[in-house]
Amino acid sequence: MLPDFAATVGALAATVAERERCATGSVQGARDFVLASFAAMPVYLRPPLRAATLFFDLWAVPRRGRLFHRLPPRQRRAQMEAWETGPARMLIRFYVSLVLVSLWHD
Amino acid sequence: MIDWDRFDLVVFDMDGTLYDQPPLRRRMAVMLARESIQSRSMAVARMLGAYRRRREALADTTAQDFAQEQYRLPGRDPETVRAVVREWMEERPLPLLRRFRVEGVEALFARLSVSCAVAVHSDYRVEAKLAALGLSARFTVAAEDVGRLKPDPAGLRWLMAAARADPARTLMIGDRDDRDGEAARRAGVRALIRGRDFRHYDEPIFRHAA
Ligand SMILES: [Mg+2]
Repeated sequence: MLPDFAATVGALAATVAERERCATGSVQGARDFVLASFAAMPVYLRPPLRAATLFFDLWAVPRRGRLFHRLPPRQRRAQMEAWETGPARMLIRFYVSLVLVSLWHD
Repeated sequence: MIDWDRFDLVVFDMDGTLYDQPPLRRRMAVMLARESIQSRSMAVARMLGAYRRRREALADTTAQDFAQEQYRLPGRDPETVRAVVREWMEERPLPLLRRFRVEGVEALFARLSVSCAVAVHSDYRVEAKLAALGLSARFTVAAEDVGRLKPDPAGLRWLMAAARADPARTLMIGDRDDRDGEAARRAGVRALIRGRDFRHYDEPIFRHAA
């Protein structure tokens, strides 16, 4: 059971998109947009962000018996929202704002 | 084939037509994500998202008083929305625009300007972006100038009147068929759509433009 960066980003994008229902645009588009934005970030920011994201994916394992990106939608949302107010809220805020931008219709 | 001698007026859309939008949006998104982290709030990102949706909705209707209407979002002060839009959609992207300018556009503007009027027609303000791109046009018109968003042909008609060009001698170049292409159809003007008809301005289709 290995954490997967792209799959975690995809699962987060879907969770945010589902919550912000009023937004237009596709989940696949949101995932691609977040991954492309990540690639456009300064080099020094990428490793810590990737590590934190993988940790976020793994965090579900001792609690739910599965990686975050393999959880059903309701549990994903619960974990995301728990983190949103927890000590690592910056990570979630980062992803939520990227997804929000990606969901703006072009 | 395009018979370039036929045109007295060539109208360009701005976003996605004169510069590449996706890489700019990614940079802006990262900037906005940093802002959300620093300010500990998603308010700006949410407000901009709501504003974009409002604009898209307004484009499909004919709202009177569009200039005011666009900033009216539920539960928000219109002045705050206007300030956030100005900062994030008009001012902050400016220094980034030049590097995403579409290949060949400067030379095309120069060649076209010899024999016809070059104009830029955008739903957003034009002048600052055009200057940031290192381009200039004889005429510019924004949605707020005519009170209508594309695909309403009001802006295109305004430009044709200003340039004294008739629809048969006008060409619209844009990147969205549902906005630029549709505005052109409603005005009886031919359109070229970037992404569908061409990708950049060094392509053969523009070779005889002069
Ligand atoms: Mg455009």
